[in-house]
Amino acid sequence: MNSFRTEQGGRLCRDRPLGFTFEGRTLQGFKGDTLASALLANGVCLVGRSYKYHRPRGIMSAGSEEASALVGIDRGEGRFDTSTRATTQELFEGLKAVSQHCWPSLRFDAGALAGLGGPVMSAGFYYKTFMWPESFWERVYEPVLRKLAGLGRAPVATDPDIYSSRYAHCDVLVVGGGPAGLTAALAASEGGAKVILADEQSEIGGDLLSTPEVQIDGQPAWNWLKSTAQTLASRDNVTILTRTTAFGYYQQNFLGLVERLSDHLGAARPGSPRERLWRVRARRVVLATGSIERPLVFSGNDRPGIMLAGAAKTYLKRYGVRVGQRPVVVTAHDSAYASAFELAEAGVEVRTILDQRAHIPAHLSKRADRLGIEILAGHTIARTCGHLRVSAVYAASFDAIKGGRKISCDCVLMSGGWTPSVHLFSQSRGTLKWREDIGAYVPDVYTQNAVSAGACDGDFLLSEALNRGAEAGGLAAGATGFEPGGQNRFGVAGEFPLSAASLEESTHATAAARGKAFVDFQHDVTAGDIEQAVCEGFHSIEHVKRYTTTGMATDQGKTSNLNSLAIASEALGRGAPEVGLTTFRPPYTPTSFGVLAGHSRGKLFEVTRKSPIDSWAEENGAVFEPVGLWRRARYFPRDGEDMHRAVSRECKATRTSIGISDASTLGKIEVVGPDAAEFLNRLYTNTWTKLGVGRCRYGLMLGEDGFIHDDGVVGRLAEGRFHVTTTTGGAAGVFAKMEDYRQTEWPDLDVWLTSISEQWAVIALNGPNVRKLIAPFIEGIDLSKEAFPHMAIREGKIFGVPTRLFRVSFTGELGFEVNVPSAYGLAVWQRLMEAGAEYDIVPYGTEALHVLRAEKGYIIVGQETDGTQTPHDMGMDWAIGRKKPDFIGRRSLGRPDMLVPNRKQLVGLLTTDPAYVLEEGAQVTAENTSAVPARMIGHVTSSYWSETLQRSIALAVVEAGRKRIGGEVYIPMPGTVYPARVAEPVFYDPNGERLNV
Amino acid sequence: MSEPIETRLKPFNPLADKTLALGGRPDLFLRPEDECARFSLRVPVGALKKAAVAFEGNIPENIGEMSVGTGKSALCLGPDEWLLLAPYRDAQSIIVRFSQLYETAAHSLVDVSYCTLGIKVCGPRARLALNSGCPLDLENMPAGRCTRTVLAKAQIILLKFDDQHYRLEIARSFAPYIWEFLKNAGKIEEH
Amino acid sequence: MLLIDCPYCRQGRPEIEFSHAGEAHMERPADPETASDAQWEAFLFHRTNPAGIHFERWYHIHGCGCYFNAVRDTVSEKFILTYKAGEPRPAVSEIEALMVEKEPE
Ligand SMILES: [Zn+2]
Repeated sequence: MNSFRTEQGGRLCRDRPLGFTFEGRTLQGFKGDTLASALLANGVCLVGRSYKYHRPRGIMSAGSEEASALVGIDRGEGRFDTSTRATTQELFEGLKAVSQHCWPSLRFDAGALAGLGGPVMSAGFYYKTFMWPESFWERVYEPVLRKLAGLGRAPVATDPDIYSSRYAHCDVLVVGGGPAGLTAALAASEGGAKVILADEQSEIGGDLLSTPEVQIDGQPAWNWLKSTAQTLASRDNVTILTRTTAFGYYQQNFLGLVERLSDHLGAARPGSPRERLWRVRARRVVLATGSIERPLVFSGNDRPGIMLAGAAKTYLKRYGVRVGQRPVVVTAHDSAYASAFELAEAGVEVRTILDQRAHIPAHLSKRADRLGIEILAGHTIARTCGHLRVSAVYAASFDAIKGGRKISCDCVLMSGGWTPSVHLFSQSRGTLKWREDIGAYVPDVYTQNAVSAGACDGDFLLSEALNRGAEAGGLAAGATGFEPGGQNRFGVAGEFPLSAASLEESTHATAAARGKAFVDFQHDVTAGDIEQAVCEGFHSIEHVKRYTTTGMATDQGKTSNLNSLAIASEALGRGAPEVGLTTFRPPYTPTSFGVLAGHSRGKLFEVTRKSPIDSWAEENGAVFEPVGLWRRARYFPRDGEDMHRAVSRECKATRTSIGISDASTLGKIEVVGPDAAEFLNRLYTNTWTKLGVGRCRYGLMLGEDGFIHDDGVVGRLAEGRFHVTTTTGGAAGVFAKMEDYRQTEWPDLDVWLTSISEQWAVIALNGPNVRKLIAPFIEGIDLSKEAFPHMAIREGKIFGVPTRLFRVSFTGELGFEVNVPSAYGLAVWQRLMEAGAEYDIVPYGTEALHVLRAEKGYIIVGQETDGTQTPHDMGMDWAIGRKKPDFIGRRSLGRPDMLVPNRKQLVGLLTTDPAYVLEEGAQVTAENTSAVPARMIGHVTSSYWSETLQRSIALAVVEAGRKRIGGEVYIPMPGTVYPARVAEPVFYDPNGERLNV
Repeated sequence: MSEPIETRLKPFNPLADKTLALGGRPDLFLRPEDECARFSLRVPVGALKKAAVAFEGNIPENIGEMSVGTGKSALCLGPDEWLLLAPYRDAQSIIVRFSQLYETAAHSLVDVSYCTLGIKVCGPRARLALNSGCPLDLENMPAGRCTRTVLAKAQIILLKFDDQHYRLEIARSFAPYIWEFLKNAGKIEEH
Repeated sequence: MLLIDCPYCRQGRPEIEFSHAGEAHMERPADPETASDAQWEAFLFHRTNPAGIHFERWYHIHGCGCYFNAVRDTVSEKFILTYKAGEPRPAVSEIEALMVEKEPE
């Protein structure tokens, strides 16, 4: 047993020793320890190196505010967590911790020696240093910085853990399980309200865990805590979540909580989650988030062994650790005396308390006297000594700050007073008010149904916290319709009385501080940096923050924000409340990406919608491509074919016999009602009123801006019933737009819309032999050319299955689209494949489809168009019902810009070299030059090898393109320029003879 | 499984043959619902009584209400939108009766039998599995109510029969995703 | 995540059931062909984008399927009231009274 660990006391299981390693050294702690307390108990003071200057750093706190003791925790492959606070990491058997920011080793660090931490890296160094010369960035700055900087190193392997996620609702959410949170939860739940109590620590109790010396209602604090915890646990309406951080407070009392389920055990049990995300909607929120002690800002205040005074008390009382043998205390607040006295009474030699305040409360000096502790009022620390651990301080009064008396020590306990934790309150958009008496901000105006109680509201005394918590819990119960709890007053004995320090007193030292007096320990920002920022003209606290990066590390400035503010305010000569605070943003503490992703990983990362025929495509070796959320077969390679050869074969088969393709993903909407035709008249450019029952028409839909939005075939099933199809990707948007106009623009029309996209599987059959193929299996439909012409729809049966049979074609060949109820899509497809064998039927994918339609000059919305093309641009004036008084986008077609002659128009391009296939997206120029800059007059929208034509073809949009037909344009590519002849966009069967057979 | 279509072809259901039982009682039980005919009915509230006559079943008037009969069910999903569920054998007569109604009361009845698949979700952990991805307060949702909502990354229609018994209606192409999601959530929440 | 009080479903519903649908009361000219270029330009492009009270449209896409209007404070993000499409724009006095009423207790 060493001299740091006490012989008894604390909340440790001393019969449960745990072995762990730090930097490869094997050490021992107990169950109940944190990594920090276990290190301290082993006399380990040096934990890591700082981020920017690589200064040796130790442990400064005992909680989640820790900014110095950041380590990597290695739980095995893929389970390396960087920048873990040693103060919150519970010890487990076999824990492996490594320090950060040190290279080559913790005790000997090149960064610190190289003087990289010299004046170069002062405020704004990122902005100033790496500006020039440009080539230095790649060759010098980046490699060096990569080695030296960064907040730890990220794991490389895939995260093997799983994460749970759930929505929860409650009447009252209590954030924080300290004294105020406990009584709030008691009062809120007594009448039956559903209460969730969340606390970030391993057990509830908060500050009570560090103050066993007080009595509550006549019981020792820990007894009271135990019975309170039992009472809460016994209530069915209470959920107690420990190791759970409320990291974000969003609108309407919606909070994000992370419950850590296994980090205290090492790895999670197989199959069980590491963490759980709680998305809680609470009717009322009680914030009992406590407060955080402020460091003092003096030169060399970051040496290992210098820590917050309250933390030292926590280590003593809760963890049974004396943080040092010869501490010096420096403070601007009464509470540090409590730590000094408790340590002294535990046998630690506390010799001196430096109090920055001029006047010391008499009861403190009396007790100090009794314990033989010297108090130096109006004194602070001028500087500190010690390499890897503080070894002495120079105590000086403010007027003689350069000199001072050397006091040797092995640790320094500091306190600048306490800052209420208003992070969540601030995130809730509440506004803060400045309290001069405590030198801090507290909640002022609430914008959500919440209330703060205890230290986070500026009430630091235990008795106040207990009473105010109960009051807040009772109110929350009442507001949600439940009886508040009975007990409103708690009797406290043995409490340490507090008189407060002003912020000015606590940061007094800084004006005089020279050398490195740290404000933000994690980002290595000094008082001098903040003063320099102000000096350089940064007068807004938000700018000072960004320029110096103070408060921007993963600790979010929990210990530094108010000190930065005080220093900036002093430098600016304006009061703290005038300067204001920077914005608090979620997350309160670092939150793993894994828990935020939750279930959304692996096959649940994204929905993959599969058509009813997808399984056939998969079994037959299709290569898929994503189209929106759908996956569609792109091509069906045979025996080692590449895409080019497969597509050529698929195209050829379709042109010469039969191609079969799955078009089920098309959007489909059934439009029903007496006014259905009129409704479509207004939606589409085309005229629908005269479309006969049983006929189809290609429909073109514009936005109100006159640009093409979507297209598809519409079939009229009955006078008041249309089967509308949309593009695959446009389906949801078209439906929403139709509903919008139906509900809000033309609510007088009797028409209704139903999405039937998934009702029907669609099998597209194209090629000269299609009619022969299906004829034997069709019932109730005359397939003859005369009875069932191109662009018609019939209802009947195929293989006994009801079908809506469209005679349409997107390939230019005789085409039928067989719509069958989606459950039968696969079976019908299989039958067609069997029957089609005698015609050498070939399945084709989206790639062949694209080639076949491009040969015919059929556009694809979103490929030939990009939201700036009119029907005229696409050569589709024929689709516009000129006589209609109105349709969506009609008015815009008359806007002056839509009529200018040099708009980009759809044309075909035939490269001079027929074997060369242009790049889609390539720019088109009028001049045969690769000189830069060249004026671009358009771009290639589609480009393929056409097996049918035995040459390359392309579609393009080109300025005044139709006038250029027959002329030449140029496509500059790296190293060469490709000439191409401008052609009509229809390359194959321009008169449509193959369609009407 | 009775099908309305007289054919030798076999209907395809991406959830066919799937069941999931987790825990002893079981705590979470998933099974595809029996197939049935489904219709989307859009009708002005004024003609609702006539529609109920045509349906030969109750049709509730307010959003979120549902009427569950032995064979036929009607779910009110919007101010003028209902989902009707019926045995396949009744489908044709429903279509005929509504087409007669169309003569006197304009409305829209569209066959959506194959748009969605039903999943039965029950057991003591059913609500927890659903709340893993559904933001609604399912505990306080009254039994016998229904709603269209969101589960994880998919739209669903949710029917609550009681706290331990739900039915989901999910678009076919989303159904395997939802099945996987519930299975995954159910397994994670075992711990 | 906001809770949105759809005027049809009449209960706070989670935001992910909705999609935003632009500014409300952008009246489409009854006869667009007779609208001047300036009027049509205003309909197509001019939006108010205020910091404060904003009239906007929402679509309960994963709920009842209805479009409706809402008055929302774009600074606090809070919904002040919702009303059905086609109903008149609420008076400022009514909105202000509701804003006071909606302050947390
Ligand atoms: Zn709604």
